[in-house]
Amino acid sequence: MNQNHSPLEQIQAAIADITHVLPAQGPILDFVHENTIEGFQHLPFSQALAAYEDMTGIRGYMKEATFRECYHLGRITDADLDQALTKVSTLSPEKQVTDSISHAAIYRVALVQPLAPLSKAQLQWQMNREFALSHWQQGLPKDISDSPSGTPDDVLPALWKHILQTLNINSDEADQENNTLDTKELEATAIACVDKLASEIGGKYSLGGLIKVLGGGDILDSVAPTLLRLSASLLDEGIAAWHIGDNHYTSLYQAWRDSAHLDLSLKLDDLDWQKEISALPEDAESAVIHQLESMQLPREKWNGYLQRLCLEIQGWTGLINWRQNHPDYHSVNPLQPQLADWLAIRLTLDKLYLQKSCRRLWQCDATFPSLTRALRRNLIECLVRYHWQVTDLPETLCQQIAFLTQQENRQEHDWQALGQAITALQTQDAKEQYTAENQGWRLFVLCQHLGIGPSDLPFLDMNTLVAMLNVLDTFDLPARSQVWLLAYEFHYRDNVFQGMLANYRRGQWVPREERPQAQIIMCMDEREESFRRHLEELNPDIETLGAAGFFGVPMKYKGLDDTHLTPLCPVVVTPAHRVEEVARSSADSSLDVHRKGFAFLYRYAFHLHQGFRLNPVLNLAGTFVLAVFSLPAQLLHSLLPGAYKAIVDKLRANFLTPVDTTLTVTTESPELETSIENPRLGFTDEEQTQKVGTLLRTLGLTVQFAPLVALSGHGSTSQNNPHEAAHDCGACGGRQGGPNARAFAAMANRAEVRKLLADEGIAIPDDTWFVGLQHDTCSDALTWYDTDLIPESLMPEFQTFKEDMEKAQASSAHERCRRFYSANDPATAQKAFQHVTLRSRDLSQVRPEYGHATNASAVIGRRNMTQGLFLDRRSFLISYDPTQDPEGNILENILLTAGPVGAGINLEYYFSTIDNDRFGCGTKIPHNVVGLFGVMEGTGSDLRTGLPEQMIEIHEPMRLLVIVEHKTSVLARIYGDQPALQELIGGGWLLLAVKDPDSEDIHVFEPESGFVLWQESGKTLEEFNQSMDCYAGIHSPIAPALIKQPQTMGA
Amino acid sequence: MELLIIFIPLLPALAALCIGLGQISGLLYGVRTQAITFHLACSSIYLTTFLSLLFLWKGVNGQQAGEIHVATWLASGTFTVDVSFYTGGFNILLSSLFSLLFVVIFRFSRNYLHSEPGFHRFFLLLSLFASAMYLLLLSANVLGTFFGWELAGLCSFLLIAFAWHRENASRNAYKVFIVNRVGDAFFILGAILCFSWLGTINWTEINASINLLSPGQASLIAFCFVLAAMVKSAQFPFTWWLNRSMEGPTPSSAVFYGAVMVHAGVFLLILLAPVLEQLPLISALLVLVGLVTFAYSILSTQTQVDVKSSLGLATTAQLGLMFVSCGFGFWQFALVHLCAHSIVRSYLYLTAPSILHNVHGNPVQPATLQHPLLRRLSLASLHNFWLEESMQQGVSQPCLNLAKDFSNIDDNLVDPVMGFPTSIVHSSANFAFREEQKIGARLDTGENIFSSGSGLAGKLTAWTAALSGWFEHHFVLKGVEKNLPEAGRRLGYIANHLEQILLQPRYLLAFILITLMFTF
Repeated sequence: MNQNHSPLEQIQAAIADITHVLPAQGPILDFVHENTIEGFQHLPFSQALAAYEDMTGIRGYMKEATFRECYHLGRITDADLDQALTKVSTLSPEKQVTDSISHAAIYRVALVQPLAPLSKAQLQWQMNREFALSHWQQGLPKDISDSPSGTPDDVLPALWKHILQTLNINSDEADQENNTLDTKELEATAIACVDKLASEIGGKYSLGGLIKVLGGGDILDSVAPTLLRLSASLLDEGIAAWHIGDNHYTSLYQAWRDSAHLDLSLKLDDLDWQKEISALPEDAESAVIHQLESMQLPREKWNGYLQRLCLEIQGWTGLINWRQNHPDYHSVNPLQPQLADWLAIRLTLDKLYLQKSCRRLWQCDATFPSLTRALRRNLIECLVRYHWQVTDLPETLCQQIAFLTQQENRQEHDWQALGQAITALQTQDAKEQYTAENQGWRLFVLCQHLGIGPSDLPFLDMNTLVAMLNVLDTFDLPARSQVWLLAYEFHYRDNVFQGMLANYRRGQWVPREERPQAQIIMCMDEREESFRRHLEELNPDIETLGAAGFFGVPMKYKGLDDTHLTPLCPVVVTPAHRVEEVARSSADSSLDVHRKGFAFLYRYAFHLHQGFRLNPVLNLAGTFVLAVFSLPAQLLHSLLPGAYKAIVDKLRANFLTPVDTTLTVTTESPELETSIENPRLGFTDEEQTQKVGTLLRTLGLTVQFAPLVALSGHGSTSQNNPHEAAHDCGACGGRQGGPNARAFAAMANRAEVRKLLADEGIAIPDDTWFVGLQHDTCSDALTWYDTDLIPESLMPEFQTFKEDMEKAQASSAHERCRRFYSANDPATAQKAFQHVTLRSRDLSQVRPEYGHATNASAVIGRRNMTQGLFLDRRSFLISYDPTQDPEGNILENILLTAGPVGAGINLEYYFSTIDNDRFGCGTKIPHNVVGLFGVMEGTGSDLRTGLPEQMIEIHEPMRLLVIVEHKTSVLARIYGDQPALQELIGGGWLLLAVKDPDSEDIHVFEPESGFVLWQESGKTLEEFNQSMDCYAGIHSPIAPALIKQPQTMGA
Repeated sequence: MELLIIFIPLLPALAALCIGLGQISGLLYGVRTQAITFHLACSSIYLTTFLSLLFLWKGVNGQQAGEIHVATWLASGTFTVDVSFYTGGFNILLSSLFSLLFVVIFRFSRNYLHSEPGFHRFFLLLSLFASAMYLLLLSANVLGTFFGWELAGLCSFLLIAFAWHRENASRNAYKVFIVNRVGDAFFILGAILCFSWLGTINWTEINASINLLSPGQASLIAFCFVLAAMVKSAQFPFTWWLNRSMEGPTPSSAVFYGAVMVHAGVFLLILLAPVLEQLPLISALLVLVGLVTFAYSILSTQTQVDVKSSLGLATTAQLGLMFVSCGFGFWQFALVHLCAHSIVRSYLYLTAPSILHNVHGNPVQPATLQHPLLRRLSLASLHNFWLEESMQQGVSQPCLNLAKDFSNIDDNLVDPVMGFPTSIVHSSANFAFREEQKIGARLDTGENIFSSGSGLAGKLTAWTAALSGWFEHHFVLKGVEKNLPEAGRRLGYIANHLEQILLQPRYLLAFILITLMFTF
């Protein structure tokens, strides 16, 4: 660190810097999908993954075994692998080792076959029990194992012998010589080990982490419970009645500092705490400096050390950090969470417990110099302990070490013996350049896969073998993972491109020559792909379009029963307008009834879910009353969910009588200035015109308006699901998008707005009516808004349209059910609809829907590119007409908003899938809601961020493929102008492809070489009469297929 | 007809057995067979529900409710252990109620645990637990109840550690299990005292004949059972274990710590109502414990931020009130309270993940604690009054120290005299060695080394094994194969094992205690 900075500045900078490594997830009710490792997004994808792994030890690729499984399932093919090998710059597949052996061939074997070194015992097992010398290796291609060149008995022993001889490997028992190091060598090894450990303090380890990795116990076991209680109490949003600190303090640290002397656990744990606490400075940042200085940590290590402390409990610190960065967040707790507070407490507690551990282990102080000196004093012991914790030692050795660590008076020579034993294991391989278990065995397997027969052996000289080994060694796990991921993506990509090619000019409405019967604008969400497809199949006269689900109307919204305003727009936007749902003036009496009913339910919910826990008298009295109703209700819910739903719906309707409401979209005081801090209620005519016009132009919907234009926002309703918000509309900041659709329709129906729009060149016919609705992606229910306002003359059209929508709703439910195990392949669409309806009301259902799982691509262009193509609910569909935007200005905006949103969703699913336990939040089964802001496992774990296993289990983790319909030159211009897109696309976080609007050409963007023309493979696509035939009886992912279109059907 | 009662605990046990066998044989594995497991478990519960309701209906219709003697399990002198069950009364009432709750929770678990790796294991344990609870509720003698009591505790342990690979889960499971053993020990002691002083372990007879004993003796018996009940129902100072037990799947938390198992303690008190009524001191203890638990739980729950902890403390508060009712002799009230509470708490646990949406926009408004004393109280509450830490310091640590002392005595005094038992390190090495030999089939390395061991027993076995080896080598033809040395080696292992067990300090302690007991 720059020594010119004061310690305080350094600490502040360090804390600001920590943001990059902590999870960026906010409170769970505002779940927004974001790149899990967003802090590394400035690096290219593969480098970012490597850097992240370096820091946390978490790998950013799927396990190789899972990739191999995909390979065997046909989700990755040989052709995909070959293609991918050419794309990784560090590899050279075109080179040859000999005339007959190419690098590519070796790579292929290394990918498909595990070629790991064996241990001595494993080799013995292979030879004696698996009969490796008389049986071919498993997984050998048929043409090799069946080849006439020789039986395994002829080939294998000769091959094995040849390899061992050529590499000068002595396979006799004679090499069982004593490998132990002498005392000097052992000491040198130990010094190297200890120096490495000491240098990693403040990077890989905190002092506590170091003690842990040396098997001295984990001080977090003692520190974490206190920290966790404090953090939870600090962040609580309405579960507990008493909080730490309350109104007397401005920071958690001060509240804690003033009460720490009362904390009995410090006393119970026999710590020297009173002096320590009384020496603490007033404010948190000084306390952090005080503690870092008192542990005599060099200044250049401070940043890394603080970062490491946070990473050790990254869920909790992540949320505290989020709250610190969002000071406007509404919470009942007056304390403002600050990372510095947390760090100060953590450092102090750490110090107290560390002191105890260090005393016990090596009679040293818990300071950096003292501890490193102690490590150097106990060299061999440290070496042994380190390997005990980190390496896989034989069980007997582990037990001896464990025994020794328990002894009161340990002798140096005891450690010596163990150190000898461990290093003997370690150095066995190192002494020989080549060993049978490692190089010998790997070459043996490789040669079999390459189909090397007895006649080839003379050509396999030392140089060839070494060259082969070098190829193998350079093709390490990161390189292999890159190839696998690319191949996985290519497989999907080529299928989609092939589909688009086959579908060229099959879709409708290009150009829009006549008015469609109706038009519906849905969210770009890939879950709506099936809905749109089914609707088009049912009635080809309906045109469907896709746009970001807030429909260009960012607003702070307050529904009739809501208690406060919520922003409905993408998280990057801050709305400057308020919109409220209010009763229409004529509906006053019903409003009163509604209000009363709502207030009753509100109080009831409070007493049941809060009072029952906190108020003993209520609990006692309520228990008796409630039990009478609760037992029948529980039984009914469990045994007859349909009847239960009917009863609950009826009761609810009785309490919450419907009220005729309207949205206050038009302001009554247009002269008022509006701002983010002080949003005005409603929009002016000009603002409305601008919002409506922008969306219509973005969609390319400027001519031939249908009589009915519907806008469908979406949300998701499920039971018992803390992650419900993750299923809602991402474009509405993780909330339900119905109000936006309703507001847009209200604006677009106003005569004033239409007049102003006509001046701008968008003429909406007088007989066109906009109607808003909300689609529930879990139950597939449709909620229509303001249908009573539809002009009488359009009612027949509306009724037909509504019927089509209801059919599409059932068909879409049917398609979704193929993925639900408990749906049990419903025979008819109606049954499927019933299933999803009850599914969304099922308390026990942990997979109410699959959300964005399986998302893989985004298509920005006219619908005719994809209409008639079965895309398996995997594609975001964004309507955009390149012919109306030759310069690409609209496209630029779409890319700038849809790009980060799509990447956020896709990458969150990607990371949560590849390592669900570390990037995701694991299975939902033991989750426990804490403070209304998150979930943890049981009652004392780290806060779990990311997606639960139940949401990602059918996901195929690959990067989002964005396909844009336009000229490459326009895309190149946009890419050059926009650093944000350069980061995402150039860094490989998104994959970009460009479809030419006027020809069949598809170009793929490669960061190094620019746009490259994609070569088709000539694969033909299957054609089906309807979507239902595409997926009948299939539960796994389905490649794009063609669906017969009206033209081709001769309609 | 009355004999049908035995099917109530038996059917779920059979279901558990079937699932277990299915798992072992590999027939029940993975997602495809989940339906089979579920239907096995659930149909057994349907049947038991039907049977329970049948008995309940008979009871309501005024038929003679009583107990039925099924068989005599043990008879030795005056000591007889019957297998006998209650066929009426509040036992049947509770078994009917719990059956209905089991139906709800079993059905709930099907979707909730779908495709979890432990699906089959979960239903096995849940069925076993149901069986244990029925045994606990219906058995007419102390031993049967104790079996149910123990088995329920074991299932609880195994379900807390459902995700055993998570360190927190398995560690907490052990903590809970060990605390519960304290209660079990007192339960056993109570049973032993009943038998030795009253000559019976039948609940009805105990209740009837308690006034034959001196108040001191009666109080001691009652105290033992009350302590067992206190631990099981998580009363002060054992309340903290409930907090530790929330690591398992949500439905198992609901059934164990909300609906069913935690009520077992109160059930035991009601079962012993006639005894407790005559003992004012014990009744006073119940009131005291109940009140302290109530106060502790209510104060602690005010600062709990996670919903499961909070629900756990709300549960113990209500259980505390039930203890108070029992102390005052309001048995009917306690019973009704128990039933109502188990229904409502089961619902609240099952819907715990919904709390986010149920109280959205409806938060608890935090209190402003003006008085410094209140603020101290709030801090203590946040730390759950350091109850667990105090127990750790006051109880566990001394026990550990004691164990260490014994271990030292063992190492320095006993072992040199008796010889060293084979250490674990050695035996595992031997085991690995043996496996290797089996694989390598090189068993011809000396006829006399069949087993190794030290100490008297070890040497003795080694000699015996050597003798038999010699015998075999010389007298039995080599064609007999390796059966005999194999047997000898096994014998050696058993002897070593036995010696190891006998030399553990706690057994030594037990020997000393037994000796003392006989002396006095």
